[in-house]
Amino acid sequence: MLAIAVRLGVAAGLFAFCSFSLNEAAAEDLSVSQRAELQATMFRFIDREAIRGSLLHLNIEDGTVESLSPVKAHPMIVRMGDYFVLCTNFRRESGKDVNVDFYLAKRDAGFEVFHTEIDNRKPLEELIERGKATPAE
Amino acid sequence: MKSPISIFTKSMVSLAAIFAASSIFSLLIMDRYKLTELRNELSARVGAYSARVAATVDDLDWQQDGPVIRRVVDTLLADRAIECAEIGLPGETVKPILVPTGIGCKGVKGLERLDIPLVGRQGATLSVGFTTGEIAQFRHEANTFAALMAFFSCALSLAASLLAFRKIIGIPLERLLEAIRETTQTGRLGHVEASGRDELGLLAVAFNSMQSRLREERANTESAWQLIDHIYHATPTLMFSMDATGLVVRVSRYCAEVVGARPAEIIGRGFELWLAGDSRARFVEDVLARLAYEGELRDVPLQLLCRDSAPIGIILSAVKSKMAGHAGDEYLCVMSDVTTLLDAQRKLQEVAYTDHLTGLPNRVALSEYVSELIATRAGRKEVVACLFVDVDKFKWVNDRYGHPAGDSVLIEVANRVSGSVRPGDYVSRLSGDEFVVICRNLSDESEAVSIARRINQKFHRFVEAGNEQIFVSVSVGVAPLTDEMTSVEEALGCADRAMYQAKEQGRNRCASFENAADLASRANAEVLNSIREGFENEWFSLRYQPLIDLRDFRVVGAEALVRLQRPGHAPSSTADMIRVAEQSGQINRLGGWVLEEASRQFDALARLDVHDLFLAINVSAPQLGQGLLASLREIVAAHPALVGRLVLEITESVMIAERSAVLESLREVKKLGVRIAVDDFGTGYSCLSQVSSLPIDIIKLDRSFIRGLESSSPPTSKIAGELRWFAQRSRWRPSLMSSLSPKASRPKRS
Repeated sequence: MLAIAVRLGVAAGLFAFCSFSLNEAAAEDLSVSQRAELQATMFRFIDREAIRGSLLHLNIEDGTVESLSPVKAHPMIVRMGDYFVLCTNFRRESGKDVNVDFYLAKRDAGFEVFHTEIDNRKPLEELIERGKATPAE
Repeated sequence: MKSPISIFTKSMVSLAAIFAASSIFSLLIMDRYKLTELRNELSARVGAYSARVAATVDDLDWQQDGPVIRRVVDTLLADRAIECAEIGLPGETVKPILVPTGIGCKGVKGLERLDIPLVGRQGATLSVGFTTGEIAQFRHEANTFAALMAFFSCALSLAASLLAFRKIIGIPLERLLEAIRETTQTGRLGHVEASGRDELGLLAVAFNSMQSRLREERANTESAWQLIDHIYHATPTLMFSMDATGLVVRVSRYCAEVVGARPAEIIGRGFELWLAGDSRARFVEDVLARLAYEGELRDVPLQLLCRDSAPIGIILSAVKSKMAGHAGDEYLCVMSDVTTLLDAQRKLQEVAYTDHLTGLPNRVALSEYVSELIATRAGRKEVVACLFVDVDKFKWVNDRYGHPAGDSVLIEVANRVSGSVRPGDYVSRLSGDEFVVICRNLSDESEAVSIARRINQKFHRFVEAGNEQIFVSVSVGVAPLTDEMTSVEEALGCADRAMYQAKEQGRNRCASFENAADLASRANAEVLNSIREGFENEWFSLRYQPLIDLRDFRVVGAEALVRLQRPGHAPSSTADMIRVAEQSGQINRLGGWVLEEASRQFDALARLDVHDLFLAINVSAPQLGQGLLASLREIVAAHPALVGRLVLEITESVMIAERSAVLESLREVKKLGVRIAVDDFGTGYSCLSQVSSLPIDIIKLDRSFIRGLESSSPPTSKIAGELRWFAQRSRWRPSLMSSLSPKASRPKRS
């Protein structure tokens, strides 16, 4: 009886320890400073690219240019090895929201946006499906 | 033995650990997700806020809007995570902007740092120091919450499990256990409440069904035992049961009544106490030992002591059995009262072994007595003699005074012989007027002669037979029973020959075997030894005397003649050999050998396509009987070629002696397809008229009759004429054949 209890207790303890260890290790994947820097870099890029506070998006097919106003940044960061993807919601003049994905790379001590996908989630979804991109822990 | 652990305890221990582990695991997963989310939100908030402030600062003029910039930067502190911020201008004379004012991030440790380059001034950077304390606080709170939740969920789960277990498993199982315990301890076959349709409900139903079935079986078994007990006690059978040591464990009322004791007085005691004399030892030493080894035994004769201590004859049968209420091996013993049977058997034996006229042991009893004496004699230095007593001229007594007087004489002879011998001497009536006395433990052989003389002396006075006074005498032959004697016939034969010697010497006297036989007997003994050794060493052989049809000189058959050739000795006389064999009782063995060997050789001859020969074999008087018939049956069955071709040759003397018995034997022989021939006819006392009434196929005239036929002398012509006349008046077909010895010349036709 006592032996069974001891064995079960030891097993449960090991299990809990492993779970905690995994949790702690996962927390060190990307630091909070780096996350904040990525967010700041994205916002700095938006500010730089914005004209009168809005991003202008050229529709190649019909030749129209639409104005996209930033609404809300997504806190989640997706990692692709040394590259990162952040997302921000923009709103068209028509009031309809548009997702814009920003692809960032390390540059010197900071980060820099090297690619933008406006209203096109497919590349990111395919990367996540293929396991090339995963949410940063 | 370890103390039992209940299923409930085992389950609870297992469940508690599983619940605890799964709760902690779930909470940790949730904690991890929440932490990631919190970290993202914090970094997004600080990043976005700092980036906005940096963008605002970029739009302002450092020279003019210094206080504004300071206030803008100061707004960063509105966020609960941001502890400080600094804008440095390398190489400028303008003082750096520090918030909190004048302090900045100096002296604050453990802060996360975010540096945002400002585009308005080359090399200018907005450094923001922020804390992740809210994440640490969340983690602490989450851990506390997880522990509490794990504890409460475990407690709740355990409590729920406890209640569920008690209701679903514990209570039904306890009921079942209690019922089983009650059955084991008290034997009561109770039922349990069967509720629910789960496995335990089905188990309870099955248990109840089993209990019901057991109740039925028990009732049947009890009925059977009652019936057995009733049969055991109610039937008038001597029956008891005992254990392996012979102690009675049960006894039938009838058996107790017979032995005159109450069952309680018998039970627990050895049954041998109720047996008489030798039976007691036999029971202990033989019956119990055999039962232990074989497990059962049948029909052991014992003597049971009845209530009046009178023994009765019983036969005991016992078999291993298993009765209720007794552990270990038990034997059921049944005894049958065979007193009446034994009395009847004793009477039958008396009748079979006693001569009804004189009351003496008869021939059968004598034969068994002598056989046993011969068989058990080895190693004993005991002088034993056989006295053969024959009444002189008893036929004359019968003829003169009649059979009743003859019987009276025989009774008186028996009395006088019995009165002459020593106590313990064995007196028997062999047959007719022949009596045999066996004297044991003699001092020497002369004592036997003395006893024989006393017998003779007892007949010096008349015998009263009715109104007649008859003088009878006896002749007594005395012969010792020597170690060489192997059969009753041999033992009696010697005394018989001595008795004949006494008769030849004038009757009313005795003669001992040594004196009577003298040298002739010694010679006979040598011949007898040769016969015995001949069987062991295969010294016997057969010669064949061909029988020739004188009309065409064709061999029509052969007569088998036995020869005894001892290596290094002259051939034994066949006549002596036959005579000694007849006297010593070896004739049956010798005759059997001749019959079998001749048949085997004839069969081999028949395979050579010689079909029309017949085989003649001589048979002496002592051979005629059931033994010869049985041998003939076997031989005819084994050699079918002999049927119709085997001829048994007998002599006239055989026909004269014991005519009725001979007739019966001859008829049986003929039924087997065997022909009968009378050999050497004319040398004895038989006549043709006598022969014609017998089942005879062939008459072989003695050579003295036909010698001279060729010469046609008057006597032989007369004989030939008589034979012709006889053949014409009877069923006989005359034929003329001649026996041809190997040395004989070819006979002439006549």
